[in-house]
Amino acid sequence: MPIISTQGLTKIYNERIVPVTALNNVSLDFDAGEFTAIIGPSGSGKTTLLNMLGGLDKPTSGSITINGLEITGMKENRLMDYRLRNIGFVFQSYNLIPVLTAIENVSFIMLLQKQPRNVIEKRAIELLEQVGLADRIHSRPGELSGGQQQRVAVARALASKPNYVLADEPTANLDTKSAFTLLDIMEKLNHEEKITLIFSTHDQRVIERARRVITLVDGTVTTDIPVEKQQV
Amino acid sequence: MALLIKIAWRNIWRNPSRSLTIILAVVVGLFAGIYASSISFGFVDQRFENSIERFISHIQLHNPDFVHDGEGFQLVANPGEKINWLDTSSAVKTFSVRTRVNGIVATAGVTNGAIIVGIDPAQEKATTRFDEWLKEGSYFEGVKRNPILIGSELAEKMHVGINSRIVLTFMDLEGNITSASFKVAGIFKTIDKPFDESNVFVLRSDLVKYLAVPEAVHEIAVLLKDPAQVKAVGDAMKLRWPETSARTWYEISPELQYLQEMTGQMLLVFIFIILLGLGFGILNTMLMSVFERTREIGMLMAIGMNKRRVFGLVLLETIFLSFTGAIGGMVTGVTLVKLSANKGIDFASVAGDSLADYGYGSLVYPSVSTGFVLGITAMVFVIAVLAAIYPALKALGLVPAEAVRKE
Amino acid sequence: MSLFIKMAWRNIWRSRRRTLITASSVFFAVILATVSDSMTKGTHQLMISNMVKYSTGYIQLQDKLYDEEPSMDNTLLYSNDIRQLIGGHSDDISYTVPRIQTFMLASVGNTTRPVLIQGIDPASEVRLNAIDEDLVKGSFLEGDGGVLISEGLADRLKLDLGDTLVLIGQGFQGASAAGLFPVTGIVHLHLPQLNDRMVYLKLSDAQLLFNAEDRLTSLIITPKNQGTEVELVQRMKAGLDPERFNLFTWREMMPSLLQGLEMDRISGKMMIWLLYLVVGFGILGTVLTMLLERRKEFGILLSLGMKRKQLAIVAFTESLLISFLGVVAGIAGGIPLILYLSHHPFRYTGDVAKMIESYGMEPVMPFLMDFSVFASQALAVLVIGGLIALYPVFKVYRINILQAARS
Repeated sequence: MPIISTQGLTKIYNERIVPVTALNNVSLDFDAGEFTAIIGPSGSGKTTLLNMLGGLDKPTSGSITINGLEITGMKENRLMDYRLRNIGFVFQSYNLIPVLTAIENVSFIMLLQKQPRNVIEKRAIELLEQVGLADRIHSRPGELSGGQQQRVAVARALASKPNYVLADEPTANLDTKSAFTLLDIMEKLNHEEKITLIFSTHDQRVIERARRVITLVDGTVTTDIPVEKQQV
Repeated sequence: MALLIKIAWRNIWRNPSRSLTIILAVVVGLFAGIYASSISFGFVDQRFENSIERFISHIQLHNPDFVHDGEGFQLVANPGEKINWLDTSSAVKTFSVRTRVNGIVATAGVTNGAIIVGIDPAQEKATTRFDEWLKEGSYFEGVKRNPILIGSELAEKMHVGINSRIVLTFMDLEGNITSASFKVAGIFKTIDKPFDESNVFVLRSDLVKYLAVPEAVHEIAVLLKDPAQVKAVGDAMKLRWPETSARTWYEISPELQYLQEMTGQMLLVFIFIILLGLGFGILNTMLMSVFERTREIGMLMAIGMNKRRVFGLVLLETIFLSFTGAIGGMVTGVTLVKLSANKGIDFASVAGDSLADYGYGSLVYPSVSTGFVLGITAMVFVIAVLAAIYPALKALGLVPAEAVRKE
Repeated sequence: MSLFIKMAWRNIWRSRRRTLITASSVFFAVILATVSDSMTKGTHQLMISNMVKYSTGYIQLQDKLYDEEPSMDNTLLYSNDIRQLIGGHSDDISYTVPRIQTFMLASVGNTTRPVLIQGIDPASEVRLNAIDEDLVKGSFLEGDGGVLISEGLADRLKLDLGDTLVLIGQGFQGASAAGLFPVTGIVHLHLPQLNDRMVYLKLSDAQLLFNAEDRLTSLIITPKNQGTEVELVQRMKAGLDPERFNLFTWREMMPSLLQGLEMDRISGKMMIWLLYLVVGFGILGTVLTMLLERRKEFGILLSLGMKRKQLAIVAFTESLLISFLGVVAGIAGGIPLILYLSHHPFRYTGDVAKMIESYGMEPVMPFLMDFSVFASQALAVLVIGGLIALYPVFKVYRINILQAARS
């Protein structure tokens, strides 16, 4: 049973006079535990698709079902709440609240979910340990490197125990070493905790690790290849 | 919730110079507003206290017709009985019995209309501290026969000094015109110029001789031990002496009651206007702050901060910005008020004598009431909320998908 | 140069919202300031014209000694040299109003009151204060030998047309003055203090009563143009014997009014300056943000070859333009508003109206439509705006080009 199922997803933007078709009849299923990369040239619709999967945008036509629940027609408030509890996000940049420390950023999600205090603190530390930042829990984003910031973002995305995590170009601004560190962690989480990860990316380093690669060109899926994970 | 408060507070300080500019503006605005208001209140308080303690007293008794006509033959009925009652009443602190007639004062060349008031010096001193107004000469001493006290303006106008002779002309209670010669024993100066120019004071015992009615009483002014009792005592007197008019100070001078209230309201309006001017700056600051954080806000809404919380965040930031300044302004303002309240401020150098024309003394003790400060606090809150609305709505209008899409 | 101004103008519209909000705050302050200033000027003008009309007139000619000692003995003789003096300045003088006045006792039956007697020339008196318009009953001193009394006095003495009034007092050089006069008219006076005590006689009748033929206590001179009194008096003094006469303007005769008005003016001005100060901070905040945002842009411009002076001019002009926009809008909005208000003054009602009347004024809030009202606001804003605009100039000269361009 796929955790995400999209049927005939289409998105048309009415920009100025000329309508732009960002997604054209996309039907995809995602299973639990996937490590999937969605690739394609700029303007191919990657980000749009990811926004759909994250409930951040509504399709012009088609539907999205998550764990049997159709989110396409959901009202804004309910959708927001759904996102909070079920979907994790890692963006390319501006992931964190600048005025909060790492542990506060991670706790933030759990506070929004109204989890009890003692649980929050314990879990936040745990998550930060998992991403290798146990010694930086009281640092603000401004005091962390790009790679460290992204790792905190991952920790935060996981804090809500989401069904899946959507990552939009998370490695784009990172140097090779930081990118590898980040990807190692994400892979580990995917492997050990069975966290479903869906990336939208150009980055070869990500693609190499993905076990499924979906190519989008001009809003249409051109290839959808499960890749044998290469043992190192 | 607590985290939202933490975020809001820290967000303000992301751009310290801009935030400080606005905060400083609020501090200056409120500081000046409060201090200026305290001076106004000081004037009002002074007027109030002076009016009651030095002029009107708490309750005045008259013949009901006298209140309107002021005629010499309209005497208080049974003055003796009333005086006894007042003497023995536990609520009464002191009282002053007065005889008043309209007349003319004249010297060789100059004549002036005046109200001739006959008083008992000891009673008057106890009730209105009239002796403290004396500028020159003495309080009825030094002149054996028919001493008179006259106001300094009048004295100047008529070219009289201590020991000068003045002729008073008035009608006695049988309708005959009488004249009598008086000698100036003292010259007084109150803070009420019109009062000084129209009242002259003689011994009651002297005046009644000319009136042919020894028990002629036109007015009894009563000072109570506890000012709060005024209504109760006033009502008791009305009940007890239905044939006499017993008026409380607020019936005599209703505007005194309103003066404090009205001044407070006017000043709150003035400060509201200042706050409104500040509101523009606060709104602008918050707007710029929101637009600088488009992506951040988009991210917040994407990860699950709902609209209510985003609105709340902007609102909290606006409130913090406004209140930091407000508290600073109020604390400094009130502190300065308290500091200068001890010695008071003397406006004589600025306004000269003109204040006396309107019945104000030149020494003012600034003061503000807690009610007033609370009123200001409420207004700051209102302005903060109003200023927050537009930026908060703008923040909400940032659709997460678009905000995140912007690169 | 015009290129820079064009650049500056276009630059401020890059962040339209911010510019508009900042300019709005200036607009708001200017509107408030013009309304407040117009109100103050209007009220003062009304007060002055009231006081002048009903008491001293614009210019008064008196006997030299009258000021010190206002007695019947110090009246002036309306002789030929005075007629010539008036005639000589007839180009500047509209009309004169002769008066002879003093205090007397008036009695009817059993009641006596002190009253102010004025012997007047009805025709010229009416030109000064249109007193005949408030005639309640009877005629305005049409026949000879009658008196016109004020409404309040008629009330207190219970007088009606045809009743007889007895007047007793002092005349010229010790002569006693007494007479019986029929009441031929009752008039309502605006100032309550006067309404209770005025008795008007024809000048000739009064002069007869006081045995003071051709004598006046004062001659009021009304200039053709209000506002020219001070200068007219200077010129007239040249032809006047300073040993025998005094020539005063109302300013010298009512110095406390002048002082009181000045104090009011100053306190009003201070309030407005506080508002401008507060709005100024807001403008500063906007300017600060503008500078911060464009640091890189400035760095690049300077490194491309633009001179600091040129950039400074642009930055200065930008900041000034925002204030300027606000002022222009404020004046554009203010003119029709003040125009409307000047024709439809605000009328007070109820208790407030009574309180205002107790100070001797009509309960009306007039607005003055005058160029000066707008000019002073424009000046104030330009000064403040200019000062604030200097800050970016300072910053431009201090920028480190390399750091800024790279930031």
